[in-house]
Amino acid sequence: MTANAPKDLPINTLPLSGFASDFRIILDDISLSRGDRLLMSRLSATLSAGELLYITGENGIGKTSLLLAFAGLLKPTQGEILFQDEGAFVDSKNYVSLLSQPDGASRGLTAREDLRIYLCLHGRSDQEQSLLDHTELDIAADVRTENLSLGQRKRLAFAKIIAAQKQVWLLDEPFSALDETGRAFVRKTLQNHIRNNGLCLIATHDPVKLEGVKTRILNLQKPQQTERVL
Amino acid sequence: MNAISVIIRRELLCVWRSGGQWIMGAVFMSAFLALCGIALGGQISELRRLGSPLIWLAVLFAMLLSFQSLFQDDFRQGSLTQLRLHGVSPLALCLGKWAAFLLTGFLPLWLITPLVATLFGLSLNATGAVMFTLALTAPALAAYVTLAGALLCGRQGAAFLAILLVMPFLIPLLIFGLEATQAVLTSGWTAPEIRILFGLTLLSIAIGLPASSAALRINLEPS
Repeated sequence: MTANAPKDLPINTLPLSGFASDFRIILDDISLSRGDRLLMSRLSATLSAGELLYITGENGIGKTSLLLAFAGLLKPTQGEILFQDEGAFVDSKNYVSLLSQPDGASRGLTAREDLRIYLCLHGRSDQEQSLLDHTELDIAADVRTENLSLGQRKRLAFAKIIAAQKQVWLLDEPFSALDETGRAFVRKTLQNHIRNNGLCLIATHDPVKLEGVKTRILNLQKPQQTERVL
Repeated sequence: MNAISVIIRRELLCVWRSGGQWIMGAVFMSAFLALCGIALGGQISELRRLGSPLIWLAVLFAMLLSFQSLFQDDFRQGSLTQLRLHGVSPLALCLGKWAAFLLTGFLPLWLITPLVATLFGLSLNATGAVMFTLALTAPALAAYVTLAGALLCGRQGAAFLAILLVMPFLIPLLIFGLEATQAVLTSGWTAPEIRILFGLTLLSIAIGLPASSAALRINLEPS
């Protein structure tokens, strides 16, 4: 780790206190479409807690749509995406955090105010400063979100994801627009999350190797050709 | 309950930072009524007769024109999706937006009503009656504005469609609102028209907010 590496959170504010290990996501023969266009057909897989799945493929192939489907924001045209926690089927929305474009930063609010709203929703207002410090947003905390750089907006999005403490992270190009320090921060945050039985699904063109993390790659191709590379 | 109060606080802050968006309704209302005064020739007897209906129409239009700002920006910048995934239900979102809209979209209009009432030479009693019935109807008007915003968020150029969709619900409120305004002056504060108006307001809230929630859910989670 370099001297510029992100600071660790204090123990009491560590984002992940450990999730259930027998959590699974089951893709049961799903097909996805956007409008009239079929994006993928008959995809089946099982993902378990403590895994990292990279979703790769060319532009427009359906990576983001698949993330939205995992989030319950896009309904598969066929099949189901089932979330199973300790043997019971559960509502996906209670288990996922999403990093996507647009990132959801509220125009007109400062980074601090925007983060505070989400912390209030989870009853964790006391973690505001430690999260700002952890994501190295403290210097930009009082800048309005529309004036933040792309990298700072991404850090703000990560701060909200950490605040939510959900088991499944759905991340669309989390490493883009970040400098080396930012990429190190994301790598470390992902490692922490996955080691605590979190599950990360990352749509990217550029998978990054994370040491000590069980990683799989789902390479999306045109329908009928979707393959799963383990 | 926590989610609703967080959404209200967020809305108030966003509107406060929006560069005067909250005052635009009041500006529109003042301009509309001033132009009406000029168009009616400035005769005080005529202005006094038409004062209450024109103030009612101005408030209605000013509130209706705000429907696009209610959900559109949050939808485009992804905030609605994020709030949904952070555990805020569509109903809580709509309730929060509705309550905040009453404060930012209606309250400024209500506060300048005594001022614009002087333009029409309305008596103190008549001004009080207009303000009372407007306050009684505002939750219903806000519920329908919320419904229009939720139905059409994410759609470009939807203003005309919004007016078409919401107009049938607004007509009874307008009719009974004006009746109740007259009734306050003739029969006092407990006139049957006021009770009917209050009933209509409750009905509008009961229909408008769950419908808004369903519309928002469909827009956020398309199949």
